[in-house]
Amino acid sequence: MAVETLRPNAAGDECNINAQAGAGCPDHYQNVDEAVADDSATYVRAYSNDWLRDLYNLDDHSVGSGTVNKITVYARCDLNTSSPQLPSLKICIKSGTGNSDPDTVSEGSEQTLTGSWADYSEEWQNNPATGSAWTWQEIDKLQAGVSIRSPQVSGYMTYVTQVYVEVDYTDITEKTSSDSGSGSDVKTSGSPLASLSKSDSGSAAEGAPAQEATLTGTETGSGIEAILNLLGKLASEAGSGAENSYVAIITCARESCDGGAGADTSSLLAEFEQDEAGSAVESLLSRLLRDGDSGNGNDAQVSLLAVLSRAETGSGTEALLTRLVTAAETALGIDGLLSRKVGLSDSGSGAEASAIYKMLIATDAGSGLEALSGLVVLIPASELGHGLERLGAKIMTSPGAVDTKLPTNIGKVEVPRH
Amino acid sequence: MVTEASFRDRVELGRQAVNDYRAAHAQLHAQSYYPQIHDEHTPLLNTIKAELKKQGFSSPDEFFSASEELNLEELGFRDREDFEARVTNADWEALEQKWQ
Repeated sequence: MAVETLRPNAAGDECNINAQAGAGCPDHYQNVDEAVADDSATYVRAYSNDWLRDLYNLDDHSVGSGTVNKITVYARCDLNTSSPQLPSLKICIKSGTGNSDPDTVSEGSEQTLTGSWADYSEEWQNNPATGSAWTWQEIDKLQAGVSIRSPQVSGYMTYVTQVYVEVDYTDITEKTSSDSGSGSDVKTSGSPLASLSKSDSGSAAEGAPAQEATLTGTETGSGIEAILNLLGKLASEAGSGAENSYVAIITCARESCDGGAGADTSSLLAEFEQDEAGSAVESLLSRLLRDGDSGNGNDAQVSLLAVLSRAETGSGTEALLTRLVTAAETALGIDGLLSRKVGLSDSGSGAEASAIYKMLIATDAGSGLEALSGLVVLIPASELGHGLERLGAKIMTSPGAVDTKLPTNIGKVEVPRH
Repeated sequence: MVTEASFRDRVELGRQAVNDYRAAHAQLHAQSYYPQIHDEHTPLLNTIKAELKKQGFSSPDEFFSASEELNLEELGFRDREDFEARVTNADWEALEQKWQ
């Protein structure tokens, strides 16, 4: 709890007290504004049997913050008799709503004074104009004063030499790095954040958007801070680099950069789904994320696509084939053959080998020897060496060569006759 | 022993000191308002206290009581008790014209 004192600094809405030592109306406030009371040196006084009221404007608050608990208005008063017969003081305020001019006058109880200088006071826990707790705006608009009269039926007087207001408030302490509290402990500066701290139902800075903004701006730590930081980057992303942010966030989420668990990651993925409006890789990534994947499958796929999207300099199928060639082939059939053969180190005249296999693919429509025959027919056309001539001779001299139905005019070998 | 003349002189000198204070007070407020003005009354108040002490008054209250006593004597009353016992409206009006 703390107290700020506010003193009169200007005329208020009323100046009805009919005598004074010092400044006259409307400047009666000058007679009651001292920090140290000057008693009979300057004052206002009344000897009327009717109540007479002064109101004074007050300083704006300058150091107070947080919640206003109450205000207490003080008036230092005296009489010129030691035998008062009537109450002769009512402490007054005039208040309003919010930043509006005050419109509600409230008077405290009637007080009977003693015959020497003494302080009298009246408390208001709530603003009478609103029925609710005071706000600082309403404090700044507040007027305070006194209503006084003679303490006897004859011309005795009531004197007032000092009026001031004490605002009792509960300050909000600055949040520090070691602050592990919640609620009203959390604040950076100024009154508006007090309402944030009131509505904070968690602890520390989780709840408040303003606090998140602060974290993303300055945080270099890990866990939830790191994710917030990444989200900050995503939010500001406007170019093609969005893919990178996506991948970074996905990777971070999947690889447990997130110091939290469960709900944190779900919430992050939900964000991606909602925000996704792109096409191509982004769309695919988004779709994959929507799957309830908790194993390896889609993760691996996402990772591969991410690599492709980063490294691809060609387009479409070419790039994909390049990746497949380098991948470890485990398939069967022609795919496996192609992959395996191409992947082998060609120790001969590589181009020929490749051509042969391609030819096989292109022309092979039968099976068994027919296929071989077709191949052999083609061989002489391209053969430049002499290995195949010997192969041809061996075929022709074979007892079963007749089955091959080779033409008789090939080479110099004569067909044996039986 | 304090003589009648010296009492009157002391009160008159005290009144002059209070008048000086009130003039300085008004001068202070002739400036535009500033937050420290409430505290800047204090040196003026200390000055008046020192002046009143020179006249034999240990506090402003003691001086103002002496000043009122002088007013009542000038109106024909012995003291405050005598005044309250015999006061009339005319006395109140006459007292109102005296230095306060």
